[in-house]
Amino acid sequence: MTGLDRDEARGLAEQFYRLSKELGDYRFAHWEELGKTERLSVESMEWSLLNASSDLTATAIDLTLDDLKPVVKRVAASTRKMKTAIRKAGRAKDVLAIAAAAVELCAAIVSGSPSAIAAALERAVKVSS
Amino acid sequence: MTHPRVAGPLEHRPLVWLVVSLVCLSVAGCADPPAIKRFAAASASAGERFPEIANDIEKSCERREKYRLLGRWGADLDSLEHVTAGTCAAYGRAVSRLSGSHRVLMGYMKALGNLSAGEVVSYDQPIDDLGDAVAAISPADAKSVAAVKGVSEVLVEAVAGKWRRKQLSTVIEKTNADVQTLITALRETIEGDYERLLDAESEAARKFYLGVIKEYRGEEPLTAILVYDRWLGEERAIEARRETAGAYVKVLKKIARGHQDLYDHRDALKSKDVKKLVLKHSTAIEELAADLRRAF
Repeated sequence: MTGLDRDEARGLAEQFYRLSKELGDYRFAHWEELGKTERLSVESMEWSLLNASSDLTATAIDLTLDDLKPVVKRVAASTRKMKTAIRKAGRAKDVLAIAAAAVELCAAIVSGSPSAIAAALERAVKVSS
Repeated sequence: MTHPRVAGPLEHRPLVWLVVSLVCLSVAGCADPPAIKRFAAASASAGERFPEIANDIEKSCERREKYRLLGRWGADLDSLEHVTAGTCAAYGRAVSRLSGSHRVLMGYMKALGNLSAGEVVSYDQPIDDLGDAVAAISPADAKSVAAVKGVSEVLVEAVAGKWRRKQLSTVIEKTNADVQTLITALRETIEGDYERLLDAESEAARKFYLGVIKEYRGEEPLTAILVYDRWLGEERAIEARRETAGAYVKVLKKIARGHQDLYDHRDALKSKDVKKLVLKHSTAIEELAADLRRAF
């Protein structure tokens, strides 16, 4: 369905659906007045409109997903980054770096030197970045 | 001969707690992993129902097509499988793409939960090693070693927690706009497009059943009543699908709102406000999950 955007496709789908329903209302309300041939003719139009409505809806879904492609790619990339971060967080090297910084700070605490504590604290926080 | 007494760490207790406080302050406290983890887990769990909803887009087309063909040919409902398969193939392709996009969202939520909880990381061994290292610094005082080890546990967790929060905060900041767009698109597809397809299916059922009833009620009134009952049954099934879809739309809205709240408070993920907000969304999603089992 070239030339339509997703909102136009949805708008047309809604209009065709309503038309099909209104034609059905008319056919059932005037069942006795309409001859069999007329009823079949109206019914045929109803089905055509209903199918067109649904096909336009499928087109709208396709167009939505086309528009969504770059968004989905970026979200998938963020997920990959998080998985890498989780793996990184579990790596012994990083944990040991944190532990080493902690050891330094502990030593500073034991020494009781405020300046040593401050310096060690600064280094410990840096390890995380 | 008396030796000058060397102060052990326990005698520096105020200093120790000052350091612990500084560490916690400097890393803005510890994240609230259970809250974010629970939010992510509730989202992912509710999301497991999505494929059934998405698949029904194609099935709804098949049911609608069967009504059309039945009305035209009067054929047996179950023998039309092969006829409808080709007609609804385009819907099948759309479903496949839709499910793929949804899987990406759920993968993101799961990764978010795992990163927030940091559950793959165990610091026990490094902290034990740390205890040994501290013992070497102050070998005579076991209580001091224990005290310093305790401080270290807080420190390691705080530093590691800060690292995780920083990653979380960055990811949430960079991805929020895309997450919102993706959820909006999925939501509109379900509450707009799928709903319209169910409307069309319901209308197709009316065209078929009411047409049959009008045609034969004079000659076969009892059959007309049975046909009417079957029609009502089909309508109830459609209504159940609508309610399930509606419940999932609410789930998607909660996921979007929850992620937006995390984004709005990305620099204070530890705060009580964030915890409260995220837990509120988690509870709502968990409650909605029960409604998702209604139709499929």
